[in-house]
Amino acid sequence: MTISRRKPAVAFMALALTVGLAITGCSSSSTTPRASGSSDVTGMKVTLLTVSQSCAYCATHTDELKADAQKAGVDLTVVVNEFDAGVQAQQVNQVISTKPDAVILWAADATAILPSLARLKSAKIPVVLTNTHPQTDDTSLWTAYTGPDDTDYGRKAGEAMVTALKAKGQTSGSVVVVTGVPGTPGAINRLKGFTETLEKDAPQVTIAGTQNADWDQTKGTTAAAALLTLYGKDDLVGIYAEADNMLAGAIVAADRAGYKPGDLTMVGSNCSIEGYTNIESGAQQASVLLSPYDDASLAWQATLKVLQGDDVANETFIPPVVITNLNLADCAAAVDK
Amino acid sequence: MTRTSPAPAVLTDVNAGATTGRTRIRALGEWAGDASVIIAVTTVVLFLIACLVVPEFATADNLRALLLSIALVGIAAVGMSVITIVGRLFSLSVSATVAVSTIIFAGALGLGPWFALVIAVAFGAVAGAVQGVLAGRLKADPIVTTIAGAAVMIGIAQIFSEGRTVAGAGDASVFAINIAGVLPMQVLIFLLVTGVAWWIHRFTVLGRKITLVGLNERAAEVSGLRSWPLVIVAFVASGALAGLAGALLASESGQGNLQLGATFGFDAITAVVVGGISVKGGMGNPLNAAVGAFLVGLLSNALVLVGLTYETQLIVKGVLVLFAIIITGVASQAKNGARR
Repeated sequence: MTISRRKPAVAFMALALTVGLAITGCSSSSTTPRASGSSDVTGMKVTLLTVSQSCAYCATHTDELKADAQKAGVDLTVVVNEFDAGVQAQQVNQVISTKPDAVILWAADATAILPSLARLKSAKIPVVLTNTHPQTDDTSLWTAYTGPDDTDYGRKAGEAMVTALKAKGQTSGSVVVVTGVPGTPGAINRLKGFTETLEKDAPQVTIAGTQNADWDQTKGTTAAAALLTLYGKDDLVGIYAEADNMLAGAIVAADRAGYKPGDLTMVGSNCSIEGYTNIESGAQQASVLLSPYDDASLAWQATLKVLQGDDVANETFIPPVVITNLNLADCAAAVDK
Repeated sequence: MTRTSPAPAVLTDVNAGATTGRTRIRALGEWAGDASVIIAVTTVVLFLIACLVVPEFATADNLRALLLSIALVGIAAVGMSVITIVGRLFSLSVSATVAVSTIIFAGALGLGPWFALVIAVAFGAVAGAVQGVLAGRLKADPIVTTIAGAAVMIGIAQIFSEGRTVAGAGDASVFAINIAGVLPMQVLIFLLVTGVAWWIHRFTVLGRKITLVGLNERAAEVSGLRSWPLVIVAFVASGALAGLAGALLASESGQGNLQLGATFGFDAITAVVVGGISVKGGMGNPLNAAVGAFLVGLLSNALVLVGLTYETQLIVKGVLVLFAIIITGVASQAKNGARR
C-alpha cells in the first residue's frame, strides 16, 4: 500500500528530473559559428529532415547526402517522418532546440510545412528545401530550394507523349491521366504542364479523363482499369501517369484489358526502376528523368554554400530530361544499373 | 406426474407443426437480422443496380477488372478476419508483411515463381506466428504487438534492401494467366482461399474453437479450451495470407519494394468491418470479409464509372463504413437482447 501510494510521487519526481535535465543538460549544445566565406565546414552540424527510408528514391537521396556530408566532414543527423506532416512539425521543433548550422528539409506536405518554416526562420536556422516546393509565394521562408519544377516535368511528359504519338502517325485521339495524391503540388502541377503542352502542340489530342492513384502502384492498376473501361472503346491512344510506378500499374491494367505493348503510348515520370524496366522491355515509351542523385547533389551544393556563408540561389530547379529507349543509358545511373 | 390423457395424434402433429413453423420463422428472423446477411444482401442489390444503371459496368472486361482489383486485398482480408473472429481485433502489420513479402518474392524469383511464392508465404506465416505468440501466449495487446511487429519487419527489410526496389530475376507470368481463358489466376486463388477458410471455420473443430474463444475467452478456458494456440493459429493464417497477397502483388511487375501494398492493411480492415464481422470477436466468418472486400471494390468501381469526383467517392465510402458499423452494432445488440 505504501509503495503504491508513493508511486505518483516517484513518477512525478522522475518526470521533474527528466524535464530538468532536458532544460539544463540538453541546452548545453552549442552552435558552431558560421565562418563567412570560409571553405572549412568540418565539424559543422546539419540535420536532414526527410520523408522516408522505405521508398527507393528517398533512400538513395538520403544515402547520397550522407556520403557527401561524410566526405566534407560535416556531422549529418537524419530524421525520418514516414510522410507524416504532423510528426515533421514536431521534429522541426526538436531540431530548433538543437540549433544546427543548417537544415536540409524534404517537406512531407507542401502546405503544412509553412508554419515550421516560419519557426525555423525565426530561430535564424538556414533551411535548404529539397525535392518538394512549398505551396507559397513567400520565398523568404527558406534560404534555398533545390529540386524539380513539377510544371516543367509535366510539360516534358506532354512533349514526350506528342513526339511518341507523331512517330506512330497519330495526331488525334484521347489520352487518360493517372495522377498522384489529389491536391498536392506535384499532382496538380504535373497535370497542368502536361495539359498545357497537349493544348499547344497537339490540340487534336484531348484528355478524356483523370483518376488519382496516390503515387501507389496497386492503385495505379485500379485507376487505369477504370479509365480503360470508361474510355478504352473510344479513340484512346495513350496513358500518362505522373510517376513510373503508377504507370507500371497502368501497364498491368492495359495488359489485362487486352492491349498489347505499343497499342497505347505509355508515358511516365521520374525514370524510376519500374520505368527503366518497362522502357527497356518496350511496354513504356518515355519517362522524364528525376534522379535522386541529382536531387541530393543540388541540395548538398546549396547546403555547402550556406555553411560557407556564400550566396546561394533561392531556387534551383533540376532540368528535366525525356528518357526513351534511345537514351535509356542516361537513366541507368539513377536506378543503379 | 403420470400422463393421464394422451393428446390425440392429430392434435400432436398440429402442435408439432406450429412449433416447427415458429422455430423456422424465428430462425429466419435471426438470419435476416444478422449483420453479415444484411451486408451480403446489400452487396447483391447494389451489384444488380450497378449492372442495370451504371454504363459499362456489366461488361466482361470491367467485371474481370473489378475481381482483379479486390482479389489481393480480399486474400489479406480473409486472413485478417480470423484474427478478428478469435477476438484479437486487427493486425496492423498486414501492410508491412505484404511489402516485405514482395521483396522476398522478387529476391527469390530467380529460383522459380512457385518456390518464391512458397518462401513469401512461409515468411508471412513465421512473422504471424511470432506476433501470435506475443498476443496469445503472453497476452500482449494485439494492436501494439502488430505495430511493433510492422516496425521490426520494415526496419530489417530496409537494412537488407537499403530501401530500394528489388527486381526479380525470373518470370512470374504464371500468376497472370487466365484459367480456361476467362478466370484470372489471382481471382481463382482468392476464391479458393475464401472457400477453404469458410469451410474450416464452418465445418471443423478448429473453426468452432476459434469462434468460441472469440465469443467468450474466459468461458472457453473454464471449459478446458486453451485459447493461446488458437490465437497463434489465427495470426499464422493472417500472416501467411498477407505473404500470399504480397507474392501475387510482386508477380504483377516482377519487382518488390517497401511501398507496395501500403494500403492493404487499412483496406483489409475496411473489408472485415464492412463485411459485418464483429470487432468484439466470435461473430462472422471469413466469407463475410470476402464479401466486404467485394462490396468496397464494387462501390469504388461503380462510383468511378458513374463519374463522381474523388471527394464524393470518399464521402460515399465513408458513409458505407458507418452504415456497416451501425448495422453490425444494432444486430449484435438485438441478438444479445434476444438471448436475455
